[in-house]
This record gives sequence, structure tokens and C-alpha cells, in this order.
Amino acid sequence: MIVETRDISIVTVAISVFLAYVLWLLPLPDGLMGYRPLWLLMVMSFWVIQQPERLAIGFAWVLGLLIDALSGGLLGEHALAMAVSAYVLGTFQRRLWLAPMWYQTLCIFGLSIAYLGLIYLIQGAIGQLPRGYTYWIPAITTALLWPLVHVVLQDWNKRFLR
Amino acid sequence: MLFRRSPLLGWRLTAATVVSIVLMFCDHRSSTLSQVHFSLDTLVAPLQLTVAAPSKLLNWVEQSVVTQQKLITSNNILQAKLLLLQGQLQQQTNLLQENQQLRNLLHASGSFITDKSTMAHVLAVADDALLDQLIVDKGRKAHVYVGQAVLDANGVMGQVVRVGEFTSRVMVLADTQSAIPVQDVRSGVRGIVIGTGAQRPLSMINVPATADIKVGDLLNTSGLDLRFPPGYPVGQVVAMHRSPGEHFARIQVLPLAALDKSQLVLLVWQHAPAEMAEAKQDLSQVGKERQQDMVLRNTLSNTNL
Repeated sequence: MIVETRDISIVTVAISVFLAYVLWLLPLPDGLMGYRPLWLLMVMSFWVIQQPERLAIGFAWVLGLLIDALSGGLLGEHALAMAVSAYVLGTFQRRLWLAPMWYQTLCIFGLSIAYLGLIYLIQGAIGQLPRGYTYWIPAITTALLWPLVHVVLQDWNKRFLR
Repeated sequence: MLFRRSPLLGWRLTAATVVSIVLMFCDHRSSTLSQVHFSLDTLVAPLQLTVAAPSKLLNWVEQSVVTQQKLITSNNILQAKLLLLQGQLQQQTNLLQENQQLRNLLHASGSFITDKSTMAHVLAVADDALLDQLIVDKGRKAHVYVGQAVLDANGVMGQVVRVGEFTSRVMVLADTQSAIPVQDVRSGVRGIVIGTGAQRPLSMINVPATADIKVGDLLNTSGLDLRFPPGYPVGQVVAMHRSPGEHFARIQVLPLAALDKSQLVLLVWQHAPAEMAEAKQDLSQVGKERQQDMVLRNTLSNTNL
């Protein structure tokens, strides 16, 4: 049988998740607020691609629920979007795992659009539709930062496992 | 491998989706989740405080390395301000006394008591871009409650919408869900000021096109919602459009409080809860009477037909 998944260290997972929350909460100058990438989605994606059997939908759902708690929005909104993203990643994990970086980046871009789209629909359902095209900018920054996040997390994971 | 995993993923996704949708529904439609919110807010408070710590540290460093010359200048400015304010306060006590006497003459009830308030710091924490909310470093431990009015030095900032043990969440006037009843200081016309989103002017709604409101008018809280204490400044009318075809005037209001800049805010406690309860009861009584009235009218009109 082919070994599909890689070992992961729980310490690295915890540290990366904590850092993702901190980066997301870090106040930026007004002009840059719109460019904030989806840090949590990136970190979640990395771990789900590495180890979809141990970290998948439950993991993503809890991370999303904490986003909801921190953002003060509707409870369950980001939780649902994260769970759906984790499902998509889990289904295509085989294809993503050894894929070249440009392919992964493209997929993450698509995933970010889907994630934002789901939030957009939910916001619309409760009558608070976000205004303007700036709402979709985080998808671009997320895709641009994905290679960096991927390399850094992979490096950390190897170090902590040793 | 693939066949073993996929169904499991599907079931988990179904479970997560169902739970999420139930959560969203409950959260949107009712306040049954307030306990869940309280627990979650308390759980994430350490994270928010951690993120806000560096900017607090920077402030502290800035304060500790400031030169003596600067301190002397700022002290002088503050003393001058204090003198000015105290001078105005003398006048105010005089006015209050006069007002009380006039009220007594008219046998009117009610008196001015300064509301109890406490100071809170706004945590330097980025938030959901879709909401205009702040997080302040006082929570249930400091007896903050949902619906409490929040002010800055210049006027009303907003109200507390969620309370955790150590922090609470304030909805700023600019938030699209915010509404505050106001009264024109000059003409006494009443209306409601609603938010239209971050960095946009507020909007005063339900004001007839013929109402006496001019550009430059100050708007104070009217206190009719029994939530915001009456008499605090909210904003200034900056633009007004009356179009012949519409019943209501379109009025733009600029908030007086620095909604996205204030670092220090005041949380105000409404005094005399007994009085408030009484007023609320009166209001519900009026509501019931009106309802009965409506029912009666409906039946009457039906019988006429």
C-alpha cells in the first residue's frame, strides 16, 4: 500500500493555529484591512492535506467556530464554511498532496473564492450583504501567500518531528 | 483507502452542516445562545488580550521615554482645559438648580442625577470587516450589561451587544444594525438615527419632509428607548434632501464621537432601575391597550361592512 499521509506533530499544529489567529486579529492600518488573507483557511488546508485522517472536518469546524466567536458575527457561519472547505480538501487530498506548487496555489485560490462565496450567501440570507468588490480581495492575498505558508509549515513540521 | 474514507467524510460534513445551520438559525432568530456566546467570548478573551498587548506595551514605552519638556507642556495644556471645564461646570450647577426650581414650580417629576460611569480601554484588535464593532477590556466582572450605553469624550459611541467575563463587544453607531432615538436640540423634533456602515455618515429616518430640521442642528439622545440615557450628544446634521415625491426627508448625520479613533471610552450605568422598570411596564401597558383598541376597531369596521 502506498503511504498517503505524512506524520504530523501536534505541537506544530497548535502553534500554527495560534499564530494564524494572532495574524488574523493583528490590527492593520485602515488601508490594508481589506487585504487580510484567510490565515485560518490556509493553516487548516495545510494540515488537512498532510493528514486528512486525523485532522479533517471536526478540526476545521472548531477552528471556524472560534473565528465566529472572535469576529462577533453569526455563530456557525465560518464553522460551516471551514467544514465544507475541509470536506473538499479531504476529497481531493490525493491529487493535491504531491501536486506542483502552482497547481496547489490555483486550488487554494478556488477554495478561498468558494469559502468567501459561502459566507456571502449566508450574509445575504440574514440581510447583511457585504458591499463592493473589495470583499473578494482576501482570496487573491491568500493564494499569493500560500507557497510561503506551505514551505514554512512543512519546515516546522519536519523540525518538530525530529 | 479512498472508499473507506469518503463515506466517513460525508457523514461528518452532514453532521457539521446540520449543527452549523441550527446554530446560525438560533443565533439569528433568538437569544437562546447568550450563554454559549458568553462562554465563547470568555474563552477567546485571552487571545484578544494577547494580541492587544504589544500596542499597549508600545503606549507604555512611549509614555516612559517622553521628555520632561513635553510633560510640562501637556500638563499646562491639561490644566488650562481643566480650568475651562470647571468654569463651565460652575455655570452648569447653577443651571441645574434653576431647572430644578422651575420643574418644582411646574410640579413636574424627574430630576437630573449624573449617571454612574466607568472607563474602559478599546482593545487594538482587528475584527470582521463586515461588522462595525469594538472590543473593550471590561466585562461581566465589572458589571457591564448588554444594552449599556458607551460614550467617548465627544458623544455617544454605541452600545454593548455582548458581554464576556473580561471583555465585551460594543456595536458602534455606524453599524448597519445600530439604531438610536434622538431629538433635535433646537427644534425638539424626534427621530431615529441608524448606521449605514463603517466610515459612512449616519442617517436619520422617519422624519417628515416638513419637519423643522436644518443643516448644522445638533442631535441628542432622547432616551425614549429606555436604553440610552437622555441628553447625550449623538451627531450633527450635515446634509438634508427634501424631494417632492417622498414623505420623509433624507438626512445625513455626522457622529460627534470619534467612532474609529477613540482609545478610551465611558460605560454609563442607567440609574434608578425601579423607575426604568416602571416606565417599561407603562409602555407595555400602552402597547396592550393599543392592541385592544385595534382589535375593537377591526371588529367594528367588520360589523359596519
